[in-house]
Amino acid sequence: MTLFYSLQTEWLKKKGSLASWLVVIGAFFTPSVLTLIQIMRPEKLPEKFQAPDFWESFFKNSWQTMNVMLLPMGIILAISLITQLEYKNNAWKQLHATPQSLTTIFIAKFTVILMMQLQLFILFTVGIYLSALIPSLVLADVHYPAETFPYMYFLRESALYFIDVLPIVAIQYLLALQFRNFLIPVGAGLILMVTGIIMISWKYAYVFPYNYSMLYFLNRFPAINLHALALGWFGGIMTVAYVLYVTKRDKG
Amino acid sequence: MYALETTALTYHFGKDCVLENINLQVPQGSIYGFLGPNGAGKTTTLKLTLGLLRKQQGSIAFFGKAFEKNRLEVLRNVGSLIESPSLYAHLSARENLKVLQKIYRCSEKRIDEVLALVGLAYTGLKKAGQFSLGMKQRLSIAMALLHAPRLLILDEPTNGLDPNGIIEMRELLKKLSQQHGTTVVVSSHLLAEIEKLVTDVGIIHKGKMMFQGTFEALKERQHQSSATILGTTDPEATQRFLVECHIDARRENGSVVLPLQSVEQMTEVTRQLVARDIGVYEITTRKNDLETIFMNLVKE
Repeated sequence: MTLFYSLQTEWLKKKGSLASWLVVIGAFFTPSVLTLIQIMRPEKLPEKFQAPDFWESFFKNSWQTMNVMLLPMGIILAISLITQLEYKNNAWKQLHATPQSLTTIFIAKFTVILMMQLQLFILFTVGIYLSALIPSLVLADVHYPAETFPYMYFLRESALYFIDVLPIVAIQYLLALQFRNFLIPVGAGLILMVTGIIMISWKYAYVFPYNYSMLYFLNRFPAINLHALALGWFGGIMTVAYVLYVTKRDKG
Repeated sequence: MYALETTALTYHFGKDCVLENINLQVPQGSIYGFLGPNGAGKTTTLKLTLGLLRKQQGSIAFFGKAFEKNRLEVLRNVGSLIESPSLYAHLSARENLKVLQKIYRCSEKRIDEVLALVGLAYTGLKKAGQFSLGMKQRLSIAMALLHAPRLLILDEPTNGLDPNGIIEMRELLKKLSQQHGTTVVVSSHLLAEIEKLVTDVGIIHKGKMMFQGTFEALKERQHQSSATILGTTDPEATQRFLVECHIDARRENGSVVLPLQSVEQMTEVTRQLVARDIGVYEITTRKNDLETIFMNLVKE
């Protein structure tokens, strides 16, 4: 029950914050750009929209930029901004002097981050749908896609991407909890993200926790299950993050 | 049983010992002034009591219960304001209180009550980040009071308040203590600021407790350290005579200093000195104010 109330307070805290706006902007950025491109260059759209695998290829196309840059960057920024709500407002000491266990606070904050990620994925999916719908409404020659919307495909693929970025979420959460200076988790996150991009063609790229969603997108599967590997990293990093958080000397 | 008691609380930052054997004893229902110059260890002590710093040595108990074993129960009965205000700048005063109202599970009516109590009921949708420092401080106090705690710990709560705000704060804390029996710990580096408020005092300096007791006991020390100064033609003979009369007299800068005497006693002493052919040309009184006592304690 305490966790439920803690969750409510954490959700309330992010209301109107930069992190909550980042989710909305991040979710609709790629679909908006895609919509504009389609409206400006409509030549091949009538044929493309009637393809039998339209939604699958449209989904992949939308995820391309999202996957490599926007999603990791969004995660890095949003998580840092969420913990900055406490640092910037000198509020850790207030939070830690309330009758909540450290475990509750740790879980509640992380749950809100996961909920924001879920919100991002849902809004992004809505954005993908709208970026297909809008050209069909605006352009006379373009008709609504012939293929039935593949709900299960979208759900399954989104869920797998969700799992694949969990190691990034965990590492950024760990860093953002440990450092007061906003630039440290953001800077470290960006360096790690770029490192991942550089090493993506390496045959052992799967050992690096920032690479799983990219590898999945590129259909590069190692002998080990990629998603299981992501979950393993996630579990391990979260354990370290929790231990570091509860044993932190200064909680004010 | 004390509302807050620490035993042999010791804390090191690296090799520096910032607190040494602090035995804080805050009686229930008291308004305890925790005094000391900047950097004396007040905030470190208060942070340790709330678990905001990891304890190294010593023990902490609230209302007779060990803090570590009863952390959640203890914190349910404690309201605090440590150093600068802890407010979410992008939320309004009401939303800031709502965050805590959910955690403490107190009624929503309390939000209006505490906002009215600190004079912020009019702020509406204005974000806390747009508040003046005084308003932020008052909102922080409202947050500390929201769950009607049995013990209120306020670290330098008058920071940023104008003189009128300081008087209002003093009246508010007195009211809480008298009408609701709330125990209040209020830290400050200025004795003058809290001497009209407190019932008990603890004075800390360089991590050591220099004095702890009732405010009356501190005033008694003030009385004891006051003195009568005698200027006579023969200070040596004057001192000898006074010591013979069992008066603790000493010589200082050519004068004789003795504990504060009544008018009758001084009349008799003067008469006796003149009878012994010792000329008395000066009788003055040195009364130490509380600030001087405080300064003397922190100089020791």
